[in-house]
Amino acid sequence: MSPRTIRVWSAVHKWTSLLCTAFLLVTCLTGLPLIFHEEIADWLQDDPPYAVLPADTPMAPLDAMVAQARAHYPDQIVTSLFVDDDEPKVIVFMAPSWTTFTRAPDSRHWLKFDARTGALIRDSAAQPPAAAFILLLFHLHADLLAGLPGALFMAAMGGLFLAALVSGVVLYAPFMRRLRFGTVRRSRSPRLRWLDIHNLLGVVALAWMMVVGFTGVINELSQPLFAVWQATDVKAMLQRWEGTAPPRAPELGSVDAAYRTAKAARPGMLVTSLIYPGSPFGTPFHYVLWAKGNTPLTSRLFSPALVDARTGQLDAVLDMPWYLRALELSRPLHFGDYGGMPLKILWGLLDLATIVVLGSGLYLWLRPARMRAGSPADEIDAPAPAVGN
Amino acid sequence: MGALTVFGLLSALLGQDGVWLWLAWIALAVPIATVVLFLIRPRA
Repeated sequence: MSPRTIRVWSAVHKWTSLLCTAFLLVTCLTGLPLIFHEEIADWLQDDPPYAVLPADTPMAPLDAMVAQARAHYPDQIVTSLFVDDDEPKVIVFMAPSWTTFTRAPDSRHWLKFDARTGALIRDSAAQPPAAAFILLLFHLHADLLAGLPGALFMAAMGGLFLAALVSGVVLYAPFMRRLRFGTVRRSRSPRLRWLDIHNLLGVVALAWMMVVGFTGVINELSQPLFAVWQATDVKAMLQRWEGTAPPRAPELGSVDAAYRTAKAARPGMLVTSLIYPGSPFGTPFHYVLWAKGNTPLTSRLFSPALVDARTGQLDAVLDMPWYLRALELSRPLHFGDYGGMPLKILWGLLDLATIVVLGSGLYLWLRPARMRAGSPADEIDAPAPAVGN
Repeated sequence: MGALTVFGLLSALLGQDGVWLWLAWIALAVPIATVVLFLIRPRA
């Protein structure tokens, strides 16, 4: 590689790294506790225990749980239901109105029911304040508390991070040509020591950082991708409803019947959520029921069934487009939540390695190489670090 | 190392039983072990 080519790649590495490092540090620092968010939530919550019942106890009527929720908040709307397949719980989500919910999705709250007895276990209004801290961390991680613009900005930062990784790979070979793999020159200057640590951690965790960075970018685009699907496939499906008035609350049919219809339409799959008509994540006319498979892979892939909210008849079973399938597959590969606690711990350690790579890159940039000032001897073996050249 | 990491990431996702989980854990532990090994070995 010619000196000019190295200079060009060094400039790419330096500027892509510099522009994204601060935001990536926020992402990595907030991502660390988020890896263990389920464990932290379990630790923080003080919900009453579920009733001890035989394993084959059938699910209580969803309509009764919805009625209880409405009785607690008579002036509010039900936005969706979540039927957990891990725990015997059903969550009923509510919001002040569709207008408020569409403008601020975080305005929704929830009531948690025992799925077998139908008893109300918890109202989110009474959850421990610490639980809200996890939500704050998530938004800081995903969109810097700035909603869609923040998510798109973070996607751009993720793109710069990927460019920094690629340019780092290109530079690694020429920079390490006189050193054995993994060399950390402890007896030399602190700068060289951190340069070696930066290169070692960077190259060893490279594949993980590429995968988590790329899937992070896809995740940041989830809202626009979902909007594209609604504006194309869903809109085309809804054309025959043009001129029809959306159902009013008293016209809505049974949720239990819609649930049974979707289960029959998606045999062998688990129906885990139901979106009410009027939701920005659904259609004006249907209960949208999302079903997933039951293998490690297919449990990440959701498919919708649309049930007419007035009549309870199955209206459509939609196939998801490739870009939403890609989004669904990118989630576990970003969150690291698909391989038990050992995988989460490894995810945490690799996240810490990324923090060290970012921090050391910043350090190397703040302490420029002496060769620039005309004393190249100390740096000649490895001319340029990540953001430090 | 990159191929091993990708194998580890996919084996837990695509595998159907515990063997694949163990392979994933081992494959993803290799980069961590490599870093520890080179950081604690005697001075270069």
